[in-house]
Parts: sequence; structure tokens; C-alpha cells
Amino acid sequence: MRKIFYIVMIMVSQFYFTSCERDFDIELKPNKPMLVVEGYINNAMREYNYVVLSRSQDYYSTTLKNLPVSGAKVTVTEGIVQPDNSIAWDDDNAVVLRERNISTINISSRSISNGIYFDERLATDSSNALLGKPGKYYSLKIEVDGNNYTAVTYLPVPVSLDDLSSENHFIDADKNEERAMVTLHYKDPDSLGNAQLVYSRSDDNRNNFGWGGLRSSRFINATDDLINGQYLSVVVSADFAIQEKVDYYLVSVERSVYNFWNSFNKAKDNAGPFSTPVVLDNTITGDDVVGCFSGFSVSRKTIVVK
Amino acid sequence: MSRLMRTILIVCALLTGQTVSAQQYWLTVHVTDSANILQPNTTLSINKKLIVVDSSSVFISLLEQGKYKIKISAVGYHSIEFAVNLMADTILSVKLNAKDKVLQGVMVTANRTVHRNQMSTQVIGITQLKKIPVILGEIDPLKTITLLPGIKSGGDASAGIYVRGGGPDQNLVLLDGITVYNPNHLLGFFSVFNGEAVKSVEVIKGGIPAEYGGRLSSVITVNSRDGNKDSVKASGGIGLLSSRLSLEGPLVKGKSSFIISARRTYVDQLAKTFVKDSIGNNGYYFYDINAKANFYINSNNNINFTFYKGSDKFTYVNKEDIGKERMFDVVWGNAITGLSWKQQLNANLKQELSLIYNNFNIDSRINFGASGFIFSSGLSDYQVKNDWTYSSNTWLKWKWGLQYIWHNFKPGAGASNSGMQEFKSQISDRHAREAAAYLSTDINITSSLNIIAGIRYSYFNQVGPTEQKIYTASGVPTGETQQYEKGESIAKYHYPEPRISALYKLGNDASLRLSYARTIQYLHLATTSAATFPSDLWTPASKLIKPGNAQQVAAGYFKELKNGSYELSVEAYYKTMSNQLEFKPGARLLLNQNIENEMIFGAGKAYGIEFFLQKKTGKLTGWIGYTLSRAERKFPDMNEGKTFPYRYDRTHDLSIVANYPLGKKWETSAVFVYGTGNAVTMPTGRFAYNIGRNAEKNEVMFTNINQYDKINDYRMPAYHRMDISFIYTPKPNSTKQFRSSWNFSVYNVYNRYNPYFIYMTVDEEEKTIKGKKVFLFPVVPSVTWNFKF
Repeated sequence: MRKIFYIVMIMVSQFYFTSCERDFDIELKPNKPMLVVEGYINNAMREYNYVVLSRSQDYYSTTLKNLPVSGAKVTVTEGIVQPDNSIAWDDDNAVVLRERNISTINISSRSISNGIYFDERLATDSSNALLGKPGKYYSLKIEVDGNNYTAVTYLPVPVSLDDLSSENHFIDADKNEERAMVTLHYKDPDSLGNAQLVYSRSDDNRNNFGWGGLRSSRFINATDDLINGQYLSVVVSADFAIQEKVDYYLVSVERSVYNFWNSFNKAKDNAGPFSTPVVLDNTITGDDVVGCFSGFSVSRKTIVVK
Repeated sequence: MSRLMRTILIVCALLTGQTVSAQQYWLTVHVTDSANILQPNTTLSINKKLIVVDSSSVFISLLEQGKYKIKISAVGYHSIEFAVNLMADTILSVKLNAKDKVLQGVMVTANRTVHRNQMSTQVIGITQLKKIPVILGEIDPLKTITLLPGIKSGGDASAGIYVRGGGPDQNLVLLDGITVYNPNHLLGFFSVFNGEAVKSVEVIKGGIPAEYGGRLSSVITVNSRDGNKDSVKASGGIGLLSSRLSLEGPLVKGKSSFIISARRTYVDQLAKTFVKDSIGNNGYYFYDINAKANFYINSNNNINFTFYKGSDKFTYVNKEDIGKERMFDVVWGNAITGLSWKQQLNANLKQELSLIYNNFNIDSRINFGASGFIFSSGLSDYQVKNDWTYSSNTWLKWKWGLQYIWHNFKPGAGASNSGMQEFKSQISDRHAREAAAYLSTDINITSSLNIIAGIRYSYFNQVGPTEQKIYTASGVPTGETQQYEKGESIAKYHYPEPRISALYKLGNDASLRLSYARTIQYLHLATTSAATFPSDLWTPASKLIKPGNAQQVAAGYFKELKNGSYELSVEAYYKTMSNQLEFKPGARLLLNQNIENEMIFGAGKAYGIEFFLQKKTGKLTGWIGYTLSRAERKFPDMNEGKTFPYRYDRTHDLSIVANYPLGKKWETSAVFVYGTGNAVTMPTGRFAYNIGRNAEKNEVMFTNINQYDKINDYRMPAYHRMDISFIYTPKPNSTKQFRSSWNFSVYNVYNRYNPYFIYMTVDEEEKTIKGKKVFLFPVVPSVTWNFKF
């Protein structure tokens, strides 16, 4: 809403005066480096279960990429909730993730192989590599430079993506072609407290790798506080060419994971005039750490846009 | 106030009251101007003993039989002196004649504030308001009061007013005694008060009297002008951004009158004509209408009717691509109606009964392609208020009263149709009762010591019918709801609010003052933006949200110099505030039925010293105000529980205002302001997140996320600016009906780029990291033509 205010200010200032933006020397306080954890466990794509470790840097540092953290010991353990609500961890089958360049999943770019930890079986025995199961808990343990970090996530029952349809056709004046938007059809479960994230893959990101390589959408019905149990048809604000093949991933998450990505969406508006000092809703335990271990229960559907 | 103190006061009052002799008569003096409009803040002297007449401009006193010399003076009027031989109860009506040119007038503070026992108070009259240069020539009482010490504005285009370290929602803004919830139009440099309709504005920033309550930090009273009782008059102004027109006249000649003032901006129309390319179909305008009527029933009964309606409308349309139209429409505004009956029951006793309706509403509609989204929220109040004043003699006065408000909160209703599907949601309305009773006494204990002691008892009760959803501590809905029947209590609070102030005269031209006040606030403004904005929601105290509680002590020294041509005051204050409310960064306020989960609670503290030197007579008039202060907050869930500076903490704050006549036709005014920059939170570092690999470019994709450390640890550059204005009256001595004047003003004369906000930017293509500042107003000249007939 504050953007309206901005637009009006611009409108007024454009007419009456020249409101301006200037470079300005801002002397920032020194930074305390933090460990940044980006971990995923999902039920659909084994190669999309990985952990990225990096470190935060001074704001004025011109290294415009992640600063990978190598040499960490990273373990993922599956757990089942017991009748007394405690979780029994299957320590015998804990999976150790390693920093490997795994050619089969097309992640050969050198810039990403450091600091990204996979299940090694993806290279050798991919059909048995780590895969999340809905209804189970997963714990993440990280040991690096003598410090320990832990996190737990839960994979909820995935909400089934019933159908996709193409709607809202329009002519894109720049490209001079017809385009359309996709509507997702699904029923919010009757139980309250469900939350979903939406990812998509189409022609322009077909061969990208990683959750960050997909297109993610923020939309209004992300939690079901107001729309519990309703049948939903949600238009996602991305448009595609006719005949383009589009995959949609409806990702069900537990609330803490939703809260993290919700704070991430707010925090990423960090470069404009209305950036607010949003701090991520960290789910990792340990000193000087930020990040999330995201349990994703994925339901997928493909459409050829008509 | 302690019970002992109260008992002593009452006993003193009773004892001295018995000495009144039988050979006394009532002298009543009504002071009006030539248009029969009562003149408040008049000074009256009886045998050279000065008395400031209260805002009702009626002076009543019990005096010994005998001869008296009476002198009456008021700002901008010729003084009158006459003798009275008091041999019976006497009523006098005195008409004051206005001075032709009101250049040397004392416009700030009532005459002889040095002996008025209401510290931390300042009044600005319309004549001064009209002289002060303001951006785009719009007279604005709320912007002008920020030139007084202890009262700060948030910066250019920031609507908030911050009084002695308090928040923008902690000011009780009253238009003729009626609360105004959102006193600003969208552009922060416009308040809802049309200068054409305003008579004066008064700010009480400490020692708040018992008759006021419901806000923690200050009382800002805007008094609107009464209409001319003799003939129909029109006045108005044409400016660059807006025009205004005012019409006034008698309803019953010499007795009852009306005034209607209206204003509209036309930035939308001009922009559409001249810069259509950059504006497109977007538009913004506001209008407001002020109306007031007073009905004279007889010399003891008056009825006043006040009406205000204002609305802002913003439209944003983007239809570059067919079928992908984006449309955003938002309308918001206040409506206020009040009816008050003033009655003088006898020479000692008067009362005022007011019925008030107040409404604030916002409606917005968002369309994106085939999807639509509607949102509305609002607040409405019904209020009844009854105030009594009893003066048994010149040294003792009592005030008491009752106030009851019925609040209806509409936190938001939304509806959406997305493609084939619609959903509707509704956040339950909330209701609350707010009530207060007060009693205060104003007593001259000796000829040099005056004490005003009062107690206010306030009560707040949030009641049904409503439905509340139950959430876990982490914000997850449990699925359970709690239903409250109509009138069923949800949360209840009540507090005593003692108020006391003392004045000790040091001779005829100096005084010492001391005050203590406790204030309670039951409503909080939910806002995340620095500018008061339409997304603002007023939320009532609830089980979780405790009422705000503030205590303030202030001490001051006041002195008149050179026979009253100069006035000097020094005041120090110390204020503590508890149950202060902040929102988590990025909090969602709209359509959030668990808004309380976005709130965090803490405490605040503010202290400082204010200097004020005013020159009231001579060619050059004006004032210098300087404040040295500190305002801080402490929240367990913010900044690791450590104290941090309030965003509007301003170590140094300086204002200089000067008025000077340049011959008969021209006069000039200048303003200079300087303030320490706002305290803001800046990042200390950043990191990459949401990492992926872009196959096409063969590179890493990620999003930069900022890392923050301490809150409000960075100081924006100091804010300073100078404005000047020239008023040109072509025919100052014209006796014709039609008179006009030109106001030429220049805002920010030396073109200082005061940052509106600053931010960091990372350019990944250019591999540069830079700080940026955005400023709104470079040097801005403007011209307004004002007329009157």
C-alpha cells in the first residue's frame, strides 16, 4: 500500500518539481558474518534434496555471489512421530550429504559446486538416493569449524493439484503474440493451518537447476486462515506463449517453513525506497546462523497452454 | 495526586469560601468583535489587575461594590478602557475594533501566558498561520505547530506529529472538540484543516488537564471560525495545487451565523492535461468541506453545529496490454458531525452538552485481468459529552464532566473473484465502550500560587457481538472460534488519571510552573508507514493489547521581558510510556484476522529541555524555539531487548520564525528549521539466498538478502531548510467590499536536498554497491491569490 503513496508523490513531483534521487555516501556499521543455510527435503525430485552453505559478507563487498562454506559435515535423518508425540530418529540410516560435483544432474557449473551438499548416491545409485516421505520428520545436522547447527522439518500430506487451465488471453504488444495465464485448481484440505508455495517451470527456465532456478509465485491464498476447506481456482500472475509447456508444482509446507519463505519474500524487496528491515524467520538452531530447512510435499501437473 | 493533597485543597477552598462578604455584585463582560463574534483569549484588567478571559470570551466576577477601571485588549484589536461604578449586578457587552493591519500582532500564545496556569501549551492564531510560508501556499495549522519546541514533524511529506517523544497516534486532534482520527490527506503536507475555516490552533504537550483524555502525548485543538453575524461574506484562494472558497453570513442578523468552506485539489486534472504521458490514467485528488453554524437562542443559550466531510481518491490504471489490465482504486475519508449546546445557567454555573458522530472509512478495489479484489475497513464513533464549570468566586473554579463513546471497528472485509472461483472473507467487526468522568479544581491558594488539580477516571470495555478465531502462539489457526454475545465483555480496563499543575508567580512578569499528568490510551493505530496512510487501522485494547500508559512531569520558568515585548520560557520534561506497540517489519495489516500476532509490545522514555523566546511587539515579530531531547524505546523482542532510539528521536531541534512588514503593501515572513536526522535501521551485511543455476547463462542465480544488526542505529543527515513568503496587498487602505492579496512563497530557499529516505542498492550488472537518497522538494516557489468580499 505504501507504494501508492510513492506513486502519488512521484505524480505530484513530476508535475510541480523534479524530485530526485542522488548517490549518497552511507557509512555502514561493521558486519558480523553469519552461516547461511538453505536446505531442502522433498518427496518428488531426489536431485532437489540438497543443502547449500554460505556465509554473509560486508554490505560493501563487491563479491556479488554466494560465499560458499566448504568442508562441513552435513547429515539428514528421518524420524517418525511416536504416540507420546516424541520423534524417533532413524540414526542408523542417517544420510551424509557431501560437497560433490554430480554430472548427471547437470550442475557442472563450478560456481555452484562448492558449498552445495548432495547425497552421493545421486551419482552412483540415484534410484536409492535420499527422498522425503509425507508424514515424516527430517532433521538436519551441520558441523562446521567446530560449531554445530540443527534443524527439523516436517513433510505434510501433499495437496493434490487437480487441474491446470489457461485463461486470461491477451496480446503482448511488444512480442506481438498471444499469451495467457494459468489457473491452478485444487481443494484446500478441511483441516485448518495448511500453507502452500507455488513453483513453475517453462521454456525460459526449463534447464535451470535448483529451487532457486524455478519461478516462484507469491499469491494471496498462501495460507488457509481465511479460505479453509474451500475449492480454489487461483490465477498465478505469470504469462506464457500459446503452445508453451508449463509444469506447476504445488508445494505443501508446514507453517514455520511458510513463515520463513513469507519473510524471504518481504526481505527480498530490500533495494527500493520502501525496503523494510525484515529479518528472516530463521528455522535453524545454533549461533550466528540464518536460513531454513524446507520440507516440501510436492504435487505436480503439466499443461500445454492453449 | 495523593488523597492528602486533595483533601487539603478542598478544605482550603471551603475555608476561604466562607469569607465572601455580602456587599458584592456580579460583573459580566461579553467581548465580541465588530461582526459580533466572541473574542477568546482576551485580556481584561480591573484596576490594573490582569485577568485572561477564557475561551468562551465571557468574563464573570463577583466584586465589591465600588468604582473600577476596566481595560480590555486582544491581539489584533484596539484596546478599550472605561470606568464602571458597580452598584448592582451588571452585564456589559464590549465590541473591539480590529486594527487595519495586523502586522504587529502577537499571534503565538495567548496574551500574558506568563500567568496562565497551563504549562506546555501554545496557541497560534489564524493571522500568524496565514503569514508563515508553507509549501504551495496552503495554510496548514498542523504543519505550523511543528515549528514550536517539543513538537516535531517526521520530515517532508510526513504527516505524523511527534510530541515529546510520543507516536503520531498519541495526539488527541480535536476539531471544535470532536476527535479527528485521520487528520491528514494523503500528501503529508496537507492536513484536513482548511485554513479558510480555522480560527486558531492550540497544543497542550504536557500537564494535560483532566477534561482531556484518550491519548498519551498531546491535545491539539483546532478551533474553527464562527461566521459573520452581520453580512454575507465570501473569501477564498486560488493556488497551484488547490483552490478554496468560503462563504459566511448571518442566519439571524446579529445573532446566529453560518460558515461553509470547501477545498479541492486539481493535480489530477492538470496532470492529465499537461503531462499525460508520464501520468497515464492515474489520478489523485481530495476535497473537503467544513461547515459551522451557531444559533443564538438567548444570552444564556447557544447551539453550535459543526460538520466536516473530506475524501481522498486515488486511481491507478495500467492497460498497456489488452486483457492484462491492472486497476487500483482507493477512496478514503472522514466524516464528522457535532452538535453542542452551551448554557450559562447562572452567573456561576455553565455547562456544555455535545453529541458527536465520527466516521473514518477506506474502500479499495484491485483488478488484475479477470481477477478482482475488494477491501474495506473503517471506524465509527458515537459520542456524548457533558462539561460543567462552576466559579464561586475569582479564586476558585470547578470543572467536571462525563464522556461516553461507543466505538465500532471494521477491521476489514475482503472479497475476491479469481477466474471462475470467488471467495469471500470477513473479519468480524469489533465494538467497544469508552467512558470517562473527571473533576478538577482551579484554585488561587495565595495571590501568587495557583493550583489546578484534577482526577480523570477512564474506562474501556471491548464487547461483543464478535467472533474471534483462536491462534497458537506461532500464529497457526487452531480452527476454534470464540463467540461473544451482544454486550458480552471481552476485555475491560479502567484507570485513574491524576493531573496536577501549579503556578507560582515571581512578581508581575515571571512565573514558575510544575505539572504532572498520567494519561491512558485505549486505541492504537496500526500502521507501518511513516506517513499516515489509508492502510491505517485503529485497533482497540483487547485481552492481548494493553492500553498505553504514560506519565509525564514537567517544570518550567516563564518570563516577560521589556514590558511584555518579549516572552521567554524554559521547560524540562521527563516522560515514561508503557504498553507501546510496534509492528514486525513487513507486517500484513490488511485482511489479517490475527493482526495481534504481528504486534510487539514494549516501553518508551522521553526527556528533554525546550527553550522558547518570542518577540511580540515592534516591526519584527517571531520566535526562536530550541529543543534538546532524547526519545527511546525498549522492546523485549526487538534489538535483543536493548534500548534503542525512537525513529523520530531528535537530539537538536531548532525553529526560527520571523515576520517583518516592508512598507504598507508588502510584508514578509521567514522560517528556518534544523533538526537532527531520523534514526533508521540500515543493513550491515548481505547474503545470497534461493540459489539456483541458470542453464542459459551458465551462472548462479540468487537473491540478495540484507543482514541487520542494531535497530535505528544509523542517523540520517540533519534536516534543515529555510522558507520565505511575501504577502502583497495591492490596496491596503481600500474601503471597497472586494479585497485581495497575493502570497508568494518559496519553500526550501537554498535548495537543500533533505533526504525523504535513504537506501542501499546493489547493481549486479555493473557490480556496484551504492547508497542512494531520495528527496522530495528542492526549491519550490508558489503563488496563491487570496480574496475576500
